[in-house]
Amino acid sequence: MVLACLLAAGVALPAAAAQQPSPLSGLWQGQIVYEPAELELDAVLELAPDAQGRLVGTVDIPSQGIRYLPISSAEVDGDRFHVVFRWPSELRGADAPYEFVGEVAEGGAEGGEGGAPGGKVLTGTFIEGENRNPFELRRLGPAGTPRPEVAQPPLHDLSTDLAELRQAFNEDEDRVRLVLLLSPT
Amino acid sequence: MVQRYVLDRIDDDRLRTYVVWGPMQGGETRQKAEEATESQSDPRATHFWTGAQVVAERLQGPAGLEDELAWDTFLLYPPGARWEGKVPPEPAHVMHVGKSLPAADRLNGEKLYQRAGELIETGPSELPDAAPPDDGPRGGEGERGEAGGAPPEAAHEAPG
Repeated sequence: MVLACLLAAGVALPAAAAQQPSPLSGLWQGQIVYEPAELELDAVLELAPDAQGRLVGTVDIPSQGIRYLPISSAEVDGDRFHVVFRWPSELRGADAPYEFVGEVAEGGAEGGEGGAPGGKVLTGTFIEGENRNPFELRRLGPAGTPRPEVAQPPLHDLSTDLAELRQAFNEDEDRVRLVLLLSPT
Repeated sequence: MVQRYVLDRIDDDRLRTYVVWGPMQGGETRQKAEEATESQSDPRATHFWTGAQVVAERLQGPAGLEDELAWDTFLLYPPGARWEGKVPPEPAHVMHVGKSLPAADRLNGEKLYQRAGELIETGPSELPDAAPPDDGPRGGEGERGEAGGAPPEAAHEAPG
C-alpha cells in the first residue's frame, strides 16, 4: 500500500527495489477490449517489486471510477503473468476479483527497450467472473514514470432552453460537428 | 472512444465536438461529469452539464428515436447545418449505444472516424436547417428494433 502510494505520487523507487528487475515491472497503459472500436476501456497497471521482491502496484480503469487501486496480487512465471485486483461487482459482490492473465510480448521477459526489464507489451485476457475479454497494455516506462498529463476541460452548465449548446453549434457552422449525449457514470 | 478514434486521428480544426453529460441513469452528478471530461480533453471538445432531460428529449427526433431519450447517441453534422428554433437540425449521421436504431449504426470508433473525415472533405451539405416540428423517427437503412450497444456481459460486469 505504501509503495502503491509512492508509485501514485511518482516517487522514485528505492535502489534495492530497482535492483530486482521483473518483466512485469513498469507503467503500462492500454485498453481492455469488450467489442473492438465499440467498447474499449482505458486501463493502466503500475507495478514494481517491493523490498522483498514481491510485485506490488496499482490499477486504473478511469471510466469505471477505478484510480490508483492497489492490486491484490501479481505473479510472474517466465513470460506469463497473473494480476488480481478486487472491486465491487453488481453480480459477484462487493469484493469481486478481476484478473489480468497473459504474457509479456515483443521482447519477452528477457530484455526490454533500453535495457529495461521485460518486454514492451502485456497481452492477454481480462477475466471478470465468467466473462473474458482481451487486453493490451504498452509499457510507458519504469514504475514511477510520470503519467501523461490529462487536462480537465471546463464544464459549462446547460440551461433548459439549450441556448449555450445552440450558440456553440451555430458559431461553428462552417465546421463538422459531433454532438454526444453521455452519462458520466 | 471519441478522443482516441476521432479527435486523436483527425488533426483538423474543421472538427468540433459538444459533449452533454447528464442524467441518463439517474444517479449522475455534476462532480462525476467534471471528472468525465478528461475522457475528451481535446481543445476542440466543449463540455456541458445538465441535470434535466430536456436535451435528450429535444434530440430524440433528430436522432431517429421514437420512445427513447437520446442519451448515448452521437449526432454528426456537416458544415453548413444551423440550429434554428427549439429542435436541432437533422444530422448527417447518427450512432448509438443500445438504442432501437439500426445495428449498423451502433457506435463504432472506426466508422465514426470515417464518417467525420468524409464530412470534413466534402464540406457543406444541402441538409435542412432544422427538423420539422412533427418530425418522427428517421428512416433507418438497416434493420430496426435490433438493440446495439455493449454486449450484456460487458454492460453488467465491467468493473463498477
